[in-house]
Amino acid sequence: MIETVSSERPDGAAVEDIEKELVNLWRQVSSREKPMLRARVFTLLVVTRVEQEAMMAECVVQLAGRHPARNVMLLLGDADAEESVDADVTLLCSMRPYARCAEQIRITAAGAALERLPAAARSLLTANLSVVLWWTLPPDEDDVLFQELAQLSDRVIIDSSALEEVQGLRDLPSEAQGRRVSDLNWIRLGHWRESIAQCFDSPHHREYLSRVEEVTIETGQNRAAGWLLAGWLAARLCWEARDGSAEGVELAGANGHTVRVRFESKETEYAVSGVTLAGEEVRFEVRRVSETCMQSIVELPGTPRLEQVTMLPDETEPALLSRELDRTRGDRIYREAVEAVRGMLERWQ
Amino acid sequence: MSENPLREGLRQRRTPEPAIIVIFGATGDLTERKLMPALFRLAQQRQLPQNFAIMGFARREWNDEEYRNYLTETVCEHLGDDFEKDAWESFVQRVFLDPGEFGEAAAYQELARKLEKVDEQFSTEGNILYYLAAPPEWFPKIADQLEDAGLVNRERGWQRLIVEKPFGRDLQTARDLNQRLTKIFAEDEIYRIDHYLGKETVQNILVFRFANSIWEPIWNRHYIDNVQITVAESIGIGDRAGYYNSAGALRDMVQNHMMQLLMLVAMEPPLEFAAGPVRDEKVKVLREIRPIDVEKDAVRGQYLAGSVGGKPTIGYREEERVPDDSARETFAALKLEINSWRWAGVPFYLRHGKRLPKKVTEIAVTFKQAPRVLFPTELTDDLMPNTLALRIQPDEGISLTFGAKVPGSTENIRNVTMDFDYGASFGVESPEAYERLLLDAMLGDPTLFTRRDEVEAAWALYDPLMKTWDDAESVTTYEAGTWGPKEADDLLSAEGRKWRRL
Repeated sequence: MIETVSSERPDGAAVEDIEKELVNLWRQVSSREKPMLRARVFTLLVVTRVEQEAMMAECVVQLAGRHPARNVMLLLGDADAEESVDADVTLLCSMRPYARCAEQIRITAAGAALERLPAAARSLLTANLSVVLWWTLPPDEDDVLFQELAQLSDRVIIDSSALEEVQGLRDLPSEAQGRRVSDLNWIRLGHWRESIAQCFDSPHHREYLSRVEEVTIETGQNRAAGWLLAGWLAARLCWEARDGSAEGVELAGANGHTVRVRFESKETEYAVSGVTLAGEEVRFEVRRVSETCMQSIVELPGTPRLEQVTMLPDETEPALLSRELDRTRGDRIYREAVEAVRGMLERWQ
Repeated sequence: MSENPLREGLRQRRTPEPAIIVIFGATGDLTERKLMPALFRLAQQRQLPQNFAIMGFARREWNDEEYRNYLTETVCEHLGDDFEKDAWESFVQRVFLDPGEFGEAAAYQELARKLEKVDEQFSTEGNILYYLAAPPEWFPKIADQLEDAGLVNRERGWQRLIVEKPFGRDLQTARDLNQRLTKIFAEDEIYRIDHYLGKETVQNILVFRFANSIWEPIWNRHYIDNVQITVAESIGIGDRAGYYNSAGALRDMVQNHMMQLLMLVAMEPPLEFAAGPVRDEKVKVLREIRPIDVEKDAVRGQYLAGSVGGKPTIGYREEERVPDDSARETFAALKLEINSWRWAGVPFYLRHGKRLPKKVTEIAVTFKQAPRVLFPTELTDDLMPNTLALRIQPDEGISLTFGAKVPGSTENIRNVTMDFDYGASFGVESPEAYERLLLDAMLGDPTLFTRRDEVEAAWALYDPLMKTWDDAESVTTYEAGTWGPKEADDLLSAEGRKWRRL
């Protein structure tokens, strides 16, 4: 359970007083029977709209249990409203399994004050620790606030599922101001990629990759994840886009044969609910069978059908973020997948 | 296509090749508590190949279905929150049983037949990982039978052998076992397990030492006064009386697990983090340790009745199936000296015991005092030397003790601790040691397993001491719930030192 210890000032704190407020809060918790650990592994800047605050705040609290950080939430109010800035500070403390606290700073800005958010964030960064920007709005490389905050950061996390149109994937930044970009929509596909890859770990199964002629990706309403998955397959298997439409793409396989990728819309809450790679007498299928499990099926000529059900990892937003934050290197595979998606979308034009 | 192009960039760059895991001792405690849960978790994390199967070998006359039911009943409780019905049912369909006696040739012929069938069903390409979780006296016989049944042929795929501890009970038996096994399996096909090496916090010793530049300049006799390695257990021997009364604390913990800790603390930087160089450096440490002076440098003890954690406990001789006159040690304290340029003159103190006040495993590196104390003695009386403690369990982490000025106008100095807590910083549970070790063996990476020369060097060091203790007719005692016999304190106080209070 997370306990919050908040600043006692009812009117909030001025941005310049935040550090002072934090010192006071730490003194409060240090005087307890069991000393609280101050653990910080980075500074997390979260940019979101005021309306989404509650949801994001919950996510940040959950994340604090796994990655203790200084969390700076930048809440964007109405740009046309009167200029205003409010700030408050809280310690998010948990006793179990470890007695420790993480710092949360919330700055709400509206009107002309929005422009000053990067400066406020700059003054709150923790010395010598890396800075992660979590941009929860639709990714837009031309947005000035995005640019300035990305410049302050070592890595940027976006979510391409926030894009309204699949075509928006063409402008997806794979780098922001030279900073590494991670895409939560791509991270959500991690277990799909692992399960599909696992079908081809056996050298015997791998021989059949070149026989794949049709890929069917079953998607929910938002198809961005499905396209990213198709981009990943194309990039890894050296498939070149020849022709495309909203329903699918035609590609040239590595040995010149035609591979068709089809997107099938399903009534499902999941971004992707099934993927099938098929060819003559060959079928590799990965399917979500319940809220917690996936099933993979392999059918090859002359061998018994193989089936396996495995559990899905925690797919909540904090868990996804947490897994991504564990990653210490840039993701070349993502960049190449995005590049392949661009190629496919260009053929669609 | 030699590599899987879809694996690139995934969390796990390499997965093991298709294989069948054959467990000898398939209905034993280790299989139930550790091996099956570890294999299930690995499968759920997609760390195992899709083409894998498990074949149990045990005396019980069960068919596959009965064995699966037994596993479902027993393993689930060890999985806790990791149990998921559909996933378990899918997993357990890949588990089979070959009932038979370990010494019965016909059972191995049947095993060969069943393995062929499972290989066909799951396309495991002839790869087999044998796991010896059977009673140790059967190890050589099982290897012989495998060979006789044509189950170590390497004509199709690889065959590897994991050997559980104890690996022999002295130098001679370890050598004999090595000889018997290496007649059938090559050294690089044998994986001698020491589960301590599978623990994340033990592996972190190497990261701590060799991924940080600040420790190496002071990690030597110029700055370090002594090193204390403690593995304390609050429990007694449980239902292991038969094994324990024959093995004792020295064989059970000191000669293997504690020596692994010592080697990791004392070894020189390896050329690279790979099986050969790492194990070369570890063996060098063992060879540099001076022979133990049995009279001067070793203390043993046996627990009497007492109380641990506020609960009354019985003495060792009152434990079920322990002889009334047993002189077996349940406590050992030792002083070891490493005769190298880095460590000459730095004592390594080891202590391990059952029924001690608490369960704790830690390595404490105590640094030398500052060359001259500038502050008045009365203000620095309580000042302890700087100590770096690597906590292996529980509360895994690292802490550094140093002196700091007490706020105020006087120069009072008090000891303070700077703590790194594994859980607080990473907030995630470490995987079970067996998960890592099983995966490494399937991948063919022996870095975290012990090599033949390493095992034999460790036995060679302890052989004289074990012989003396095995032959002894009496043993010093200590009350359960204390830190061992007084003689253990004397071992250090004779040199002006004392055990760290834990």
